[in-house]
Amino acid sequence: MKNKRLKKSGVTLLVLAMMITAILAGCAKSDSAANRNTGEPPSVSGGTSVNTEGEAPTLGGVPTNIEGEIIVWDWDEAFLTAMVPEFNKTFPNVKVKYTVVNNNDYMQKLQSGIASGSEVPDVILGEMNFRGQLFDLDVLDNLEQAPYHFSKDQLLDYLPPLLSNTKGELVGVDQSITPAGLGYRRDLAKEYLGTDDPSELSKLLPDWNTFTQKGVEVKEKSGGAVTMIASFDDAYRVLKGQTEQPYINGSTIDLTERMKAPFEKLFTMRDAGILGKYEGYTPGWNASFAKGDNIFYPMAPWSPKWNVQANDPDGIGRWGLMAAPEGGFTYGGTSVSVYKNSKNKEAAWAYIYFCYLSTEGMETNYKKLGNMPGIKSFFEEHRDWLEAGTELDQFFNQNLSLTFYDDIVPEVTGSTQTKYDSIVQTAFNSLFPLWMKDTSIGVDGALEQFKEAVKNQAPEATIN
Amino acid sequence: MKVVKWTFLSLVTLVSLFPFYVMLMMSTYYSEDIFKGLPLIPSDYMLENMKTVFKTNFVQVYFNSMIVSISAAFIGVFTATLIGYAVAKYQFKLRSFLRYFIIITMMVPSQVGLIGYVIEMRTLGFGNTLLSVILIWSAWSFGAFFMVQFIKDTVPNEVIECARIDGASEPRIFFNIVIPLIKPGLATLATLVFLWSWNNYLLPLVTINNSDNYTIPLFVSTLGFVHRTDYGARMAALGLSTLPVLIIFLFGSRSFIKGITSGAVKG
Repeated sequence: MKNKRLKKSGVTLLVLAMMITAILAGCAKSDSAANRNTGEPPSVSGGTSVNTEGEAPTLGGVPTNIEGEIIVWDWDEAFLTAMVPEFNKTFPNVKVKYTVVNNNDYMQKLQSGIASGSEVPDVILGEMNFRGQLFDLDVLDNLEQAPYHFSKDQLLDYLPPLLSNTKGELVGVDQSITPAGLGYRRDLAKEYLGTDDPSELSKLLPDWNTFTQKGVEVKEKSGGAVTMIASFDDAYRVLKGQTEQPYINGSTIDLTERMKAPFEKLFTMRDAGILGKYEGYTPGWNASFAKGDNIFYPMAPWSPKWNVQANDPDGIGRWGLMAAPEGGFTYGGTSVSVYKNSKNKEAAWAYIYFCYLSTEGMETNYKKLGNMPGIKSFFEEHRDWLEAGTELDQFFNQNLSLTFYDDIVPEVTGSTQTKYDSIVQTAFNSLFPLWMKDTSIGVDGALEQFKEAVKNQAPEATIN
Repeated sequence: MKVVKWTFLSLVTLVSLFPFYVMLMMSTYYSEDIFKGLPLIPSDYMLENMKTVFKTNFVQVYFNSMIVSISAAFIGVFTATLIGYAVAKYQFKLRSFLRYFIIITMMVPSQVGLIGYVIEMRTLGFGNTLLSVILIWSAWSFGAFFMVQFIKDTVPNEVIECARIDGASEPRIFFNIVIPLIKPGLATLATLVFLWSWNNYLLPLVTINNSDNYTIPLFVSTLGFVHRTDYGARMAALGLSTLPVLIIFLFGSRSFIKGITSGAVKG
């Protein structure tokens, strides 16, 4: 009997030892994916170019006969199913293995992948909500170096800070530019503001003070049924975006200086009762597009499709787009980057270059999916594409691409994202529902709460 | 008195079934119409929502979830029972250590061990496969703890002794004597593992990168969600995925409740 027991505990120990060895072995060999690509410096140009020595043509400096497999994690399946076959027409030997990952889970999945040494995509997306956090992870390659040799100068002027990490390295390109203005319901604007013409409206609403005053008039006229901006956080997005300036220095966050001015305007609007009762991106907010109880919504180039068409499918001709009072801002947006330890950097870059930068890719990406790349040359070379308009213009009775590019882009500024930007955003999201409802909280009280909430999530940071 | 009892029971039933009812009703609506009011009467968009769901690889995903949950239930219950039986009925060195070890591991949040587990699976070559979502249940501290208590309370030592005197081998005692005695416990545990692995989200999220291997919760989270969330289609998918769980509970509820309450009162 005793022997039996000894044998049993021996077996238990053996199994335990085996498990520990297996776990330790896993930690040891995650470094194999080192940077293998040195690559020759390719010339960055618009179209496909043929090498003088009669080799395969190149696109974005990558030979089109390059072979390999790349992994892409994206949340937009429609984009993938449309673009990957197009990409393979030019790069037939690159196999794109894609996974649809919910953008809310993207960072968690990516971090687990990196930490455990399991699969990490070669092409990494960075949505604005978590972009700072992603850039601060230091897992993305500098696109100005080999083998990419992409230059910041090619980007629209406001973009480099938004696509660079805190070290100043350019680590991504824009999936689609996101300069934003205000979209509005033409019927409501005409009824309550007297005009539905974008330029007339811009003259009528030159600044936020006038905007608020007019909002009070609208409220009175409609008996409180119609608001100017549907949600508190919508207004915050606009006001914060318009006053973009660096406010995070290392681990010092100058929250008061950064938020004071936008908050004053925001709380004035709240107290004047011109903001709707919705929280952004809730089902109620979505429904408000068709319901017609609110006039203005922040609107970036992706919004006509995802907000207007999706929420108000019968709203053809019902919408308008104008630059916001006191200037443009960026709204959302996604960066596209290459993983530092990717084994197929060139193929990954070929994918990014083709889909988001090249004329060939834009034939589908702009014309069918409506994404506008963040490079100057596109707008210089393809003005006719912009003039031709897109399918979504019918909702607005105006040329959206031209309005965004001509009227809004020149006013937009961007600033570098750090992990603290994500934290500040999370803190705001947790607090604003309270500020919406409890009107006894003023700017100073709110700022104090805001600072405290940021401090809770970033105890190491100094918050002023 | 009977009236009060029945009124109370009907009320509780109504309250607990109401969310399910709303879920089913929501699946008949066009997503943007759902939130215009409380969706109590069915709308006419059910077929479209079903089309959205079945246009994807939903059948494959459903099948994956079935494989995962059924295998998890078998493996989880089997190992938990073995451990439970050993700890409850055998005397061996480190026995009380093992008991405390089980309780201590129960107290560690599963998220803490997640990365380690993913590394382990990758090393064993099971990364990105359904095995990585199944095997987590093979060392399941709650199951072991539950079985230790259950076997201790329901299997009399005398029965085992008798079997031993009659010359039954140890495996035979386990399979022919002990297992039939603890059927309610097995059913309870199997139902629990099935439910938990059916609803598990975090583990498949970090271990599975291939949409062909997705399980239902992951699938639902990636269904019609880019900027616009298709709640109608999601509700339809959820409705379909709740069905087996509901059926299992209905069939297993008798032994499930018996299992959960047994040991509560000592005879």
